[in-house]
Amino acid sequence: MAEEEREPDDSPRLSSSSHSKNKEQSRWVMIVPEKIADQQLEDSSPDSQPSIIKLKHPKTESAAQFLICPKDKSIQEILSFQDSKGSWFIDNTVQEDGRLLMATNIDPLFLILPYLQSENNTKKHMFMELDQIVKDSSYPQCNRLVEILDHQTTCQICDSKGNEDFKVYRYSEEKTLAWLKSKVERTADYLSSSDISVSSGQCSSYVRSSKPSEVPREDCLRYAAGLISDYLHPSLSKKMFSNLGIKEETTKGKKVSENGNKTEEETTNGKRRPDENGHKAEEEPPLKKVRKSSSEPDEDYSRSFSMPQVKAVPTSKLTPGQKRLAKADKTGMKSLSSFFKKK
Amino acid sequence: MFEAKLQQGGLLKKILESVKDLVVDGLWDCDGAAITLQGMDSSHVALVEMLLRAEAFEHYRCDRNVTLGMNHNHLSKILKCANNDDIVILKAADQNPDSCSLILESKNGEKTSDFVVSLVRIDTDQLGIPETEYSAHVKMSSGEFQRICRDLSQFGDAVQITCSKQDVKFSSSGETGKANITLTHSATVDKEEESVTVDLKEPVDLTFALRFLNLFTKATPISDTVTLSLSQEAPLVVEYKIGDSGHIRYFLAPKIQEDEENE
Repeated sequence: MAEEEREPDDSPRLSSSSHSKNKEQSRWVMIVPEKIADQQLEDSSPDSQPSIIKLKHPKTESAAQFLICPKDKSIQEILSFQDSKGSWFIDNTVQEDGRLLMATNIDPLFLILPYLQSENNTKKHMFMELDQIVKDSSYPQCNRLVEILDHQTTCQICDSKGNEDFKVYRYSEEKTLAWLKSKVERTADYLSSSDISVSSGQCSSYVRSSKPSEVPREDCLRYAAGLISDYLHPSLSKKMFSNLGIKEETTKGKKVSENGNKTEEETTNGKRRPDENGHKAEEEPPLKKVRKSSSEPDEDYSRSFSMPQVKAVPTSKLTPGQKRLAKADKTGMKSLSSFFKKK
Repeated sequence: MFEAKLQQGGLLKKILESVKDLVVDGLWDCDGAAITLQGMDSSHVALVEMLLRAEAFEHYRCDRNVTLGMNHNHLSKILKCANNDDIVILKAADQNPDSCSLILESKNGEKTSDFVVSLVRIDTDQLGIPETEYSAHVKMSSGEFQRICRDLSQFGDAVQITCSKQDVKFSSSGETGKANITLTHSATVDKEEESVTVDLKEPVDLTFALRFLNLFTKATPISDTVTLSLSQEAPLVVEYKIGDSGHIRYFLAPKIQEDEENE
């Protein structure tokens, strides 16, 4: 990526400026879109300042860091790239942590999807207010997502009811799949118009070579869907693949080349990659890592061996009736030993 | 030694069918007068008690009290081999038997099958169930009760049973809507098994998990009628008589409603 190479020229300016007001240890080099970096410099009110928050990653469900910008209602995913060795020179100091962080635009809908889906499971199709849906005690900052979502955006994946003042939402799988489909198609369009190689060497070349008649469009779609499934819970991504009529070819997380990374950002909001600019964050560094193209195999040879594990093996020989009983809702029922005494 | 000969093997099949889903391993207590079985489901919210008196058997001999720990899945495999009109003979040794034999004889005596089932060690507490006065007794056709439970389970997971002076109301609600079934006291009907009798001391209003009730109704083939005994804050009793010589009673803890919002 060209941006990456040019970045060190820019970043020291910002890093050193932050350096003056922050502690030594909390210092990183991060590429952020220019407009966000500008906000950081000019804007003083803390509420509208871009800040780093910890949220549940929609796929892994573990913690990941995001840069939220309330002012332009956007959220950036933070990726980190680390060479095995490396440090930064910033002005006259050496920054030992050689990681390069990148903030790239992500569609906030991906981040609220897990909440919508889980509400959907528990409350059984109830319409709820958005700030009630997006509530998570382990990631309290997730309520900030609600600020940056507007009604129209949310309606892409939800049914909604109510008037201007009071709007309630309900997860709609149909809409979500349609939304994902349009995302995949847009990404695939971009992929086919760009010179990014989506076929051999990057996405299961073995399967591909055995079916030489495949049209490139299908490859683009599959590649695009793979990119997007990186932001989806495995169950949903499975549905997406079947909705698109594509066979999921990689069982593990996708292996991304540098190009892949770039398209990933295209995927999330259809915009161009944010401009590079150095920017320093105030909190702890992100945990996510950018996958490197060179260090990971392009194909997963173990796939064929891991497949049989998917088959469910009945662990006990319960009768169907016993199984049904085990699933019974026993809330509010006391044990019978509280009514009858032991003999 | 213990030996019991049952003319109607089908009865034992029906009994087993009605308990095996609730209780995987059951203790069959045999004494001079009767065979009793008591067991709870794995979550201990439901209990089944079966009593089969010696009169039910054509031949019954029990020299010493003996307890047989049966795995009902294994037992049911054996009884699947039996025809409904086969004669079933149960045999076990007196002292700490580790197996129990079952002999199935066809009616005309031409075929005899012989099985041995290994007994299992069961460590469960037996509960003493006191004879209690219930606020309400509802007697009705067992088929009707089965049907109500099955119909209502399409609407919700739980059934609310409300007994008032002359009728009993079964209601269930879920996301698709609400269902109410009301049965009115009708002892005057000619056929006794089709009548509904409500014997009420105090009005009751209780909620129970339908999955369990549906399981209890597996005993429907055993008897034409079923009696529900209810008291506020006490387990429901669903009783099926086994002719004049025994019964199957199911006990189920009520659901105590804390979450009114689901109403």
